[in-house]
Amino acid sequence: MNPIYEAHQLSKQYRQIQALDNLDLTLMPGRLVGLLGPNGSGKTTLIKISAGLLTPTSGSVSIDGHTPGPATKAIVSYLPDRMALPSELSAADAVSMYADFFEDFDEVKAHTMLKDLKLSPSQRIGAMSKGTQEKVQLCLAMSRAAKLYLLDEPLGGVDPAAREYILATILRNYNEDAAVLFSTHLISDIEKVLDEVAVLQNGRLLLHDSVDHLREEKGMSVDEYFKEVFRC
Amino acid sequence: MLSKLLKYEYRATARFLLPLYLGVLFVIMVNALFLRMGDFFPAFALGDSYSLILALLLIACVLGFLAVVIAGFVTGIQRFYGLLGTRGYLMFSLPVTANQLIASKLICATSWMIGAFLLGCVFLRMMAFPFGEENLVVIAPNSGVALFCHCLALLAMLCCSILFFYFCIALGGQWPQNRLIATILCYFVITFVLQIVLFFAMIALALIALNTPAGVTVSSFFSSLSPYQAISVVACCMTLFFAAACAILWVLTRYYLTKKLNLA
Repeated sequence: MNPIYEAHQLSKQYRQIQALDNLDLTLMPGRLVGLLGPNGSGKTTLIKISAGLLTPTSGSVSIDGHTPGPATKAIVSYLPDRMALPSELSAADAVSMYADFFEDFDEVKAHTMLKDLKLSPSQRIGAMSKGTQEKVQLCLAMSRAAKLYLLDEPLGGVDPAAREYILATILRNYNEDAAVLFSTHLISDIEKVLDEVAVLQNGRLLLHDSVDHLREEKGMSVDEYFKEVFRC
Repeated sequence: MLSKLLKYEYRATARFLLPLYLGVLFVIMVNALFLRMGDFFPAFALGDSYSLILALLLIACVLGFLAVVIAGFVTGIQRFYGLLGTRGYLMFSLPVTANQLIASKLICATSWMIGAFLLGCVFLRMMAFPFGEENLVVIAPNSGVALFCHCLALLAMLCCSILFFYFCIALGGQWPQNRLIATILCYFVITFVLQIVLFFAMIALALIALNTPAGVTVSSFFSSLSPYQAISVVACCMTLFFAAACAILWVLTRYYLTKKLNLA
């Protein structure tokens, strides 16, 4: 089986800051990978480069054999770490917009998810609370049958009750042909659903291993391992 | 994909601009109606209240027209500025090219400005010939080609000025903070430099025209043309100049959106 995602010697420099430093990462289809690391470790930069929102200083990214561009954007479902939907649209308008632009978008699934999360399709996005906006955005991202999901802090502003539903939705919606790269600080919440973890530190890949192997080898949970490695 | 981008661009801008445009058109129509009422009811036209209403309507038309021009232009620029903000996280993750994104913004902004121009034409037509008994063909026969060439030049100038703002926004977006100030600074600095360069270029061209055989040939060529023909040639040259400037600004803006994208 070919990898769905490959980052090779990836570096990104922002003026004096080295956000990514010769990072290599490979993701196989059907894997749910947690992208972990302290603040400023390069998680968002890696996701933004992979989503085609940033150009790397050096190195390359390959998604299903293509460099990031319109072709990869058609098969990558990207969830940014901030609200990006136009505030003047209603949730139903946003669903129509996604259906217009993404061939793999399932409108029925999106409306079902909105209904399950008790979100009103007619409500304007600008009039929603921050957490509700994030839920709408996540519904849209997960209603696509993408080959790669890049989720940047999808649980950040969501209440614990909705978190369970969202994690279940993520698990239910991706198939064996798709990989999920999931950046978060809420490790204990997602640990049970992850197949692998990729840990970044100062823009470098500190560790990329399966969750089961990590637990076995270190004799501790991923959350405990993270706290031990990055203890202040 | 461009048609889909345009659909959402028009939908977003029409939400605010369409009621404004229709409102101004309505005021222009009411104004024209009042002008005609003076013809049909001369007694009514002699009253002070008629003159007062007419004056107020005229002021409303002028202010409305200004509002339409400013709102149309500012909305077009603001939509592009938003593209490099949080909205860009959605727009740049769509399966579209940077060319399509720039084109959708430019086409939408330009068409709203053309709409404002047409409103201005309707307004002037109503003011100058409220009874519809005159038209431009009667006043200035044989002006069709010159008029068309001028419209082309105006269109190229309009696109150029919008693209210049886009370029300044893309350049100002390279700053990590205070992007709006950076954009405004870029606009004024580049405008100043361009004015200096164009000033010296004009002087150089004038000197060439006066002192070289080529200049004399060009002068004699213009002397042999009728006024409308001369106007048409100048308008065509302007169109070419601004089209070339548009191409340069487009390429530079696209470079910043693809290679140096730095969303807020």
